[in-house]
Amino acid sequence: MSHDRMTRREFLRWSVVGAGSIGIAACMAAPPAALPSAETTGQNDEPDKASTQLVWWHGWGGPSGLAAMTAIEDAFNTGDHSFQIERVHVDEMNQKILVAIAGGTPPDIGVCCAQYAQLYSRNAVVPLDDYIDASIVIKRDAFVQGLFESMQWLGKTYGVPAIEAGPRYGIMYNNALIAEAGLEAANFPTTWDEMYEWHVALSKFDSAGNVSTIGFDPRDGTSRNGPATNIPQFWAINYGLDAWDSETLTFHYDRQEYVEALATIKRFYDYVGVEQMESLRSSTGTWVNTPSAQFPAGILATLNIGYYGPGELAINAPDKEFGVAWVPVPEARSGIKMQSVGGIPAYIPVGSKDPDRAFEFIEFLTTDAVQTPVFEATGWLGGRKEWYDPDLPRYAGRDVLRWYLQSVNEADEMWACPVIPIQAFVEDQREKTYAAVIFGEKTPEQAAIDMHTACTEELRNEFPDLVTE
Amino acid sequence: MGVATNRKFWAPRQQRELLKGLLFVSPWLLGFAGFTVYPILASLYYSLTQYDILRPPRFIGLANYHQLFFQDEVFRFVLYNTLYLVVIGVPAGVVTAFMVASLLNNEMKLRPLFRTLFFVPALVPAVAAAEVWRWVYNTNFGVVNSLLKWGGMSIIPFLSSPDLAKPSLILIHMWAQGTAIVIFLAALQDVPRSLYDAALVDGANLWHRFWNVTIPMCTPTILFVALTSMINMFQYFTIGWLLTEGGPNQSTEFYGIYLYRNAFLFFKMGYASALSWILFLIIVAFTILIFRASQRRVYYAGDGES
Repeated sequence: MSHDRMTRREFLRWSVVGAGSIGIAACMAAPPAALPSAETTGQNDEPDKASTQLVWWHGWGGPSGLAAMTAIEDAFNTGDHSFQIERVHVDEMNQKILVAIAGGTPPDIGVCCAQYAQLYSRNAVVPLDDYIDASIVIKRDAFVQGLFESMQWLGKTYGVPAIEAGPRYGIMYNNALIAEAGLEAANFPTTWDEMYEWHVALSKFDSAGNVSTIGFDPRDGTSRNGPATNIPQFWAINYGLDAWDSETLTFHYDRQEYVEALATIKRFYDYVGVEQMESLRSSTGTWVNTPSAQFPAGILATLNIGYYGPGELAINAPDKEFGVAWVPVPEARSGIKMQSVGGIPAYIPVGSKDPDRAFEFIEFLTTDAVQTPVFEATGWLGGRKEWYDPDLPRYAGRDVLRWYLQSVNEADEMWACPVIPIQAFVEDQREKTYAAVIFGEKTPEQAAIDMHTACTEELRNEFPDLVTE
Repeated sequence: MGVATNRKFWAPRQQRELLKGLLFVSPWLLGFAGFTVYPILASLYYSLTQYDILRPPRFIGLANYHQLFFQDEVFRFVLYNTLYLVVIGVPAGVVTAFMVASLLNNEMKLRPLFRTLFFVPALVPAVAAAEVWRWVYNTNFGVVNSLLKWGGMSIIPFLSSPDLAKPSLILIHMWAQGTAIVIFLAALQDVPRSLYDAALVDGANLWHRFWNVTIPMCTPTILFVALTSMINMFQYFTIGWLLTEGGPNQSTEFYGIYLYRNAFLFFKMGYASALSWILFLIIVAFTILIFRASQRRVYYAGDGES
C-alpha cells in the first residue's frame, strides 16, 4: 500500500517538474495562430500557397472602407500568387504598430494610418528603393508628381503610394445656402478678403445671438490638417510658405507669411465668436463622412475638402447640391491656383517575415485590379497618373470629382507633402497655435514665434545628430 | 554554540515549509515581478534616457526632468489643469457622494430603487458615459441647450469654452460617484444608534447630529474615499480624452493625457517615463499631506490617541 501513496516530498518534486515543463512548453515558439490549415481554407490542392501567409494591417474601417479592403484581400487570394494574405483591420494603428515593431511581431505589410515620417526616420520600416528599381510593375514616373517624394527620408524611399491618393484642396459650397444669401457661384471668392465678405453674408444668427449657419470654418476639412506625409499644412502653403525645409532640416514658422495666415484664421473666428464656432462644430461634427457633420447638414456653407468630398456627400447629403472652386489665396498671391496631391504609403515594417513577398503584395496594391474595386466602394483615386484623366468613363457624370482631377493638370502650384521626423509633435503644435490665436491667448506674431521655437527645440532634442544650426 | 546555530539557521522542516509556501505563491510572485516590479524599475531607467521604442535608449541623465521643470511650458498648464481637477473635483465628488449616501440612509419609500439608480453610473463603462454626456452637453441638440434655445436664450458652451470645460468634466465626475455612495452607505450604517439617541437626549437637532455624530464617525471612510479619489483624479484620462482631447485651448490637457500624448503620439517614452515618475512623487506627496492633515480629525475606534 505504501507504494501506492505519494509522499509530500514526491508530490512537491513532481509538482516542480510539472510546472517547469509547462513553463518550458509555454516559452517555446508556438506555430502562428493565424496559419489556417489546408482543411479549413479549402486549399487542399495548393498546400504551398496556403502554408505561406503574410499579414497585412490596414487602418481603414467603416462599411465602405472595409468592403474595399475585403475586395482587395479576396482578389489577391484568388489570384495566381505564391502566398496568401491575411487582412487585419487595426484601429489606433499608430500605437499598435509601434508596439508590434518594438515587440518583434510586426505585420508583414502596413497601409494607413500611422505617423509615417516618424517610422521612416527611426528606421522602423524597410527601404524600398532596390525593390522599386527592380520592379516591372512600379515605375516612379507613372505616379503623380510629389507622391514618392512624400515617402522619402534622407534619400531613401520607404513607401509606395497605394489605395488612396488624390488632390487635397478645393472649396466645396452648398448651392442652396449661397443662393439664399444672394451670392453667385460664378463670382466665388479668389482671395481671403473676398472670402471673408462671403463668410459675413453667409453666417446667420438667431434672435438670442446663437449662430445657426457659418460661412466658412478655417479649421474644418483639409484646412485643419498637416503638416503630414499625406497632406501639407494648408494655412502655411496657402500663404506661399514651405514651413519645413527638407534640405536643411529646419522650420520656418517664424516667417511673416505664417503670421498673416494665423491672422486670417482668427478673423473668420472673430466674426462669429470663437466659442460659438467651436460649439457648433463640436456639436455637429466636421468633415463630410457623416450626415450630421456641419457641412453635409447644411449648417456650414463652404468647406475646403479633398477629392473624396463629392463622393461622400453624395452618400451623406444626397438631397443637397454642391459646387467646387479653387481655394482662395491672400491678396499678394491673387490669381494663383494651388493644389497638392497627397497619398497613403504601403510599407514593410522591419521584422516582416518575408519582405520580398510583402513587396509583391505592395505591387499588387498599385494595380487596376485593386484600384477599380476601391474606387467603386469608396471613390478613392490612387496614385497613378493614368487615373487622373477626367475623361475616363468611370468619372462620367461626376462633375465635381472631374474638377478635382482637372485641378491636378491646371494648378499653378503643386505642393509636396513634407516628411518631418517629429510630425506628430508639429501637428500638435499647429493645433495649439491655432487655438491660442483664435482664443486670443497669443497674438499671431507671438504664436508663430512660439511654434517655431518649440518645433526647432523638439527636433534638436529628438534628432541632435541632424540639427546643425 | 549548538543553540546559537539553531537560532541562526532555519530548521529543515522550516525550510521545507518556506519552500512549499514560496512554491504556492510563485505564480503571483512571478507575475508581480514581471508585470509590476520590472516595469516600475524599467520606467525609472527609461526616464533617464531618450527612448522612442524604435531605437535603442540613449542615456541622458536627468535631462528629461530638467526639461520638464525648466523648459516645458505645456507641463505648467498640465499641472495647473490637473491640480484644478483634484482640488475642486475631489472634494466636490466626496461631498456629493456623502450627501447622497446620507439621504439614501434615511427611511423612505422606494429606497432600494434610489440606491440602485445612484449606483448605476458606476456600472456604466467610461466610454459609454462619455458618449451620454457628449449628448447632454451638445450645444445644438443637448437637453440643456435645446431648452435654452427654445426659451430664446444664449447657449452654454460646456465643452467649447476654456472656462467651462473643466467644471463640465467635474460635473460628470460628481455624477459617477456610485461606488463612493455605496462605501459611505456602509459606513453610515455602522454608526451606533446609541450615539444619535444620546445626542437627541442632549437636545441636538438634525444638523447637530449630522455634524457632531455622523461626520466624525465616518471620517475614516471619508479619508479613504478622498485618498482613492485623489489618486484616481491625478490619473484622470478616459472621459477627458474622449470628450475634449485636451482642448479647447489646452484647458483640459490633464496629466494622463499629456503623458499619453508624449508616449504614443510623439514616441517619447523616456520623457513619458519621467512624467510618470513625477506624477508618482506628486501623488505620494499629496497622500502624505492628507494623512498628516487628517491625523487629528479622523476617528479610529479603539485608538485612544485619536
